[in-house]
Amino acid sequence: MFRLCGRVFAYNWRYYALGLFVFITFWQVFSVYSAGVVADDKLRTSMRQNAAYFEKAFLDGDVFETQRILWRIKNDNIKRITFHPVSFEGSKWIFKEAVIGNIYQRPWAQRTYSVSFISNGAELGTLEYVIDWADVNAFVFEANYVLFIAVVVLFLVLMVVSNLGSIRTILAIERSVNDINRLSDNSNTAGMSAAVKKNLEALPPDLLGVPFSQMTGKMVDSLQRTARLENELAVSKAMSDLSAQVAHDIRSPLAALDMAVKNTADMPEEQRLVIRNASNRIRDIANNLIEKYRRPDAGQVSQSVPSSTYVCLLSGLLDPLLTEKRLQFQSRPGVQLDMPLSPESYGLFASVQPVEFRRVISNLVNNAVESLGDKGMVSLRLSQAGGSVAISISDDGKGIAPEIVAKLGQKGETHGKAGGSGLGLYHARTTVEGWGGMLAIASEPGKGTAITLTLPAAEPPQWFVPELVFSPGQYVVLLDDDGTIHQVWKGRFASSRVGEQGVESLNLSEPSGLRQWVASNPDKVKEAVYLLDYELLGHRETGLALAQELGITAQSILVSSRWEEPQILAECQRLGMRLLPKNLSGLVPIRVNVAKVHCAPIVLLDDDPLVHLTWKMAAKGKGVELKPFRTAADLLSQIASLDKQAPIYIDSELGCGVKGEDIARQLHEAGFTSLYMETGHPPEEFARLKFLKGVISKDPPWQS
Amino acid sequence: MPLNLKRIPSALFLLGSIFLVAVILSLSNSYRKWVVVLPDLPSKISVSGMQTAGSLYILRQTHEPLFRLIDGQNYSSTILSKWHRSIDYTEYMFCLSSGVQFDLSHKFTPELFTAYLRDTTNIFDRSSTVRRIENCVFVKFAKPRKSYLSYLTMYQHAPTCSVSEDVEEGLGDFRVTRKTASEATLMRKKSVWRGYNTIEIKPYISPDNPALQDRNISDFNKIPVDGIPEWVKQKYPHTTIASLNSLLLLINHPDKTVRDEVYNCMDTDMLRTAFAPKKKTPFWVIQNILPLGVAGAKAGKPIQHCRGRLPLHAPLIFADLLSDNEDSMRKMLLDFSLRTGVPVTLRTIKAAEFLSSLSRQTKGYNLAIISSDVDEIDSHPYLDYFSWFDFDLPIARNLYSQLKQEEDRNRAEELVRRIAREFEREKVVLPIYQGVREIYYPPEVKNIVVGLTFSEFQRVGDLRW
Repeated sequence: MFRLCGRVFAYNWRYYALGLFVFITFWQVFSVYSAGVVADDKLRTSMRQNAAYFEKAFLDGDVFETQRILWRIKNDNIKRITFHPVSFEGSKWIFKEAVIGNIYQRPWAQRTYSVSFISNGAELGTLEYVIDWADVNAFVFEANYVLFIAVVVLFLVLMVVSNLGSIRTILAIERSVNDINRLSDNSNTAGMSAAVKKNLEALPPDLLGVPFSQMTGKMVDSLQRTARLENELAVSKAMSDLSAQVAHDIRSPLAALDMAVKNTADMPEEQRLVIRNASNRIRDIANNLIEKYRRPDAGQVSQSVPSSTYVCLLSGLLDPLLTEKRLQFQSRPGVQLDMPLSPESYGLFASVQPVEFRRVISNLVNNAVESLGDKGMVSLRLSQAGGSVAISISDDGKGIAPEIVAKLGQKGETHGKAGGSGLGLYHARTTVEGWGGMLAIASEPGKGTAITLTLPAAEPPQWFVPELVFSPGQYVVLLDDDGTIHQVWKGRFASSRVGEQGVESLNLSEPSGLRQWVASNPDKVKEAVYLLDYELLGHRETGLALAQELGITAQSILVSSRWEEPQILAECQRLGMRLLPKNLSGLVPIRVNVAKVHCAPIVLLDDDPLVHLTWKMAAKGKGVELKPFRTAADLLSQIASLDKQAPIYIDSELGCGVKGEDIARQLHEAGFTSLYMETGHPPEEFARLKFLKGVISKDPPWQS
Repeated sequence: MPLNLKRIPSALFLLGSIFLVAVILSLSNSYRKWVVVLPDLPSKISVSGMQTAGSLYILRQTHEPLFRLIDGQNYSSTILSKWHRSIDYTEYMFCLSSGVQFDLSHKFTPELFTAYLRDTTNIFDRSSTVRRIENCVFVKFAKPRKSYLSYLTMYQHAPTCSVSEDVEEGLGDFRVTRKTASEATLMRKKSVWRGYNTIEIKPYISPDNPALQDRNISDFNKIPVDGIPEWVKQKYPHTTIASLNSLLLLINHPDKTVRDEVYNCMDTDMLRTAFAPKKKTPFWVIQNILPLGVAGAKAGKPIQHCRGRLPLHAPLIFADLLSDNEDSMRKMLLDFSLRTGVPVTLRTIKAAEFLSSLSRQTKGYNLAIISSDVDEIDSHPYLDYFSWFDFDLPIARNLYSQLKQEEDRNRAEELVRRIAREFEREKVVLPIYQGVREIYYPPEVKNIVVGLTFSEFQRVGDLRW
């Protein structure tokens, strides 16, 4: 109860104080004024009653009797009376005045009033009387303090009582707010409605339905909605994270699958198609996941400047678009959409507006699909033609008559498309031409149509890796947590024969392995090339952080499917690292910069003169220095002059019962490190010779 | 905005500090002293005997009459718990309050009270009877005595108790704690809030005395107006009061012829100038012994008819109570002697010696100028000059005795006029002038009330600052 009263007081104390002050001031002023009026009235009455006695004393000159009568006239609220007698002939009264009362002066509170002292018509003089309002006020309070305090208390109680309604309302509001806060803190949005309803019912009936209760109800709804949205957002974010992770992880096996698809020449067409479609489908799913659950900060650059063009990797724009189209036309199983990427389509950039580009291609693909019957193929090809980039959308549909082809691309011209407005082609043409390119249509009725967009090629940005260039004797360190990508690179290196040219590769799957290698091979660190994955499963550090930590950013290339993300791009640029989209791992040209590395000649030990001839011709054509030996004795006799790191290719059958592997062993023991078997035998026969760097065929290694 | 409860303790502390400071400041002033300058200090403080200004002033503080006249017509008592009178003024009942005492060792018991009333009433009216029932005393008169209560308001009739040879204690607010020949200290028996709890009495020596410049002096109203410093007149609130302070020439000679000669031939202007050569303050000339302000008084010079020289006569002795007017007085008296043939010898005399001569049959002087200091108007002490003369004035004395018994105001006033005429006829008192008095009080005093009693004899115990 005390607490309640305290809080009531805390809410309203200013107004109570103001009300009390006004009341007390009014009371005091009114009381004092009344007392003054009564004092004045009493004085005048006493004057009249004592006038005759006063006159006698006055005429007798009896000052003391005069004073006595003045005391009778005076009352408690009159502070001082001064009688100024009239002067008349023969007057005995020689005093200027007669004063009775308190002579204390308090000018700010005292007021002097005058009245004529009349006795039966004769004016005796002037009676001045002083009222000290401060004294009157004190007297009034002193006389009535019990009543005053009682009335003040009553007034205060009345004020509180009159505020009870609002106090109840305030307390109800407070309870309601406290309940909502508590439930909100506990995330118990379900209980909010019930709590608010209960508190609203406690309000006075007049307040139900007023804006406050409506507001409270709306507030609760809003809170519940917010809680629901927060949950959805959390779920959405989780889905986004999961999708991104899946899309990222799926790129590696997808690259491996793409590699495998290339070597399916012996496979039946149908199977090839299945593998290719499955590969495409996996890519589509990954792209769709990325697109559908795109992180909020991904692709900001392209969205922040919607109307301007900038340099884009065309394969990066076309790949997800094709996925989308496949999904769009999923219901037409006879329709095939394909975009085979080749090394020729690698690294093609053009200055386009991405959204518009996608829209143009989308429209063209739609047109192509529209022209198909129940089944058909739409192919997208990306190629470079001189200083331009060509995007070709071709189909094997019904084709278009030449006379119509001429008109297509003009506004309003459409062909064979129900409801077509002809704006798609017109838009495509104007857009491409706006980018400095052109649109060409080639079609043959019954055979299909090919629309080619030609755009000026743009210089690849600095972060892009146009080709991987290695040097003989250089290490290529691959760090990826996905084993399949290692297989991809192994296949790439094998097909590029980088190993035969003295490039060593090292496959690592954990950061500790890289750190260990860097620490153990300080002389090789600066010469090596590092292909680092961005995300390393199970490890907090990224490839970028690792490169920075080990001081190998200048030699490192980030291989990531997240190459489009601005923050990764920016970080690479800051560190001076280049980027290689992971899905283009299988396409990036690989070259060994033979001239850059070592001056040591390549050594050949083979007793077959034809092999000598073939190798000499190939070496001459490549500008490679070749030191051929026909016998082991010849080679061993000049062993001291040979560079220990020079690649030495040894025939396995050297004649006269001499085995090439024995010679290789001798050379290995002598400190030679780049030893190869050059033979027609299968490489497995030499698996026991661990020191061999490789087993090749009879063909020279620089011939690819 | 809700009240910040954290600020309440600070606010309370601030208010408490302010209150404490106010209390301390108030307390620091609670020991203010009332310092008064008196022209004389009696050798004995007593209610009986001739009273001087000094003794009257002190009695006002140390003694409390049985009644006080408040507001000019009503009586109240601080000694009685209750009192009653019969409507015909023949019977009175007085009941003593409990705990009334002179000091811690002298209580005012009902027995003492009864004895006091008996003695006092007997002087007033021998026909009175006094009897006591417990702490109440009943007084009965043979005839109505309206003035009995007024009689009991006089300080001469206040209860008193001898505590030493020269000090009597009364039932007043103060008691004498220190007394020398010229100074005294009075302490309040019970300290009061915002009142004066100590009275210091200082001697008045002369108007030029540097001690008068002391800013701590509160009361200058008992010294001559000329002696009041200028700073007092500028700083202290003041008001003009009806004072019965008049200078009179007593003519104490048994031969009426001589008295006639002196009365009719003494130049009052010359005498006034010679007696108070430095006097600058205004005054009124009065015609008879009645001071202006009293019914029957007349303004103007006395009616004199100087008939010429008298035959050679023995010198008269002029007792001069002032010491700084010898030259002017001698000169004036020489002039008088030459005109009247009555030689006059000037003799300077101290006030104490002069007062002590009142008890002797032969006073030792023929002429003397006295100033009447009256503390109560109704007792008409300004008519009681009978003890100043070597001879009797039977008619005047008889009239004065009637006056003291007279209850009717009108008849009393007539008696006063007849006494005055008698004095005039006998030529025993020549009025020289009546002094006009302004009273000054310290500005901090809030409750100085004028017109109630003689404000020159202010009850310090009633004052509050």
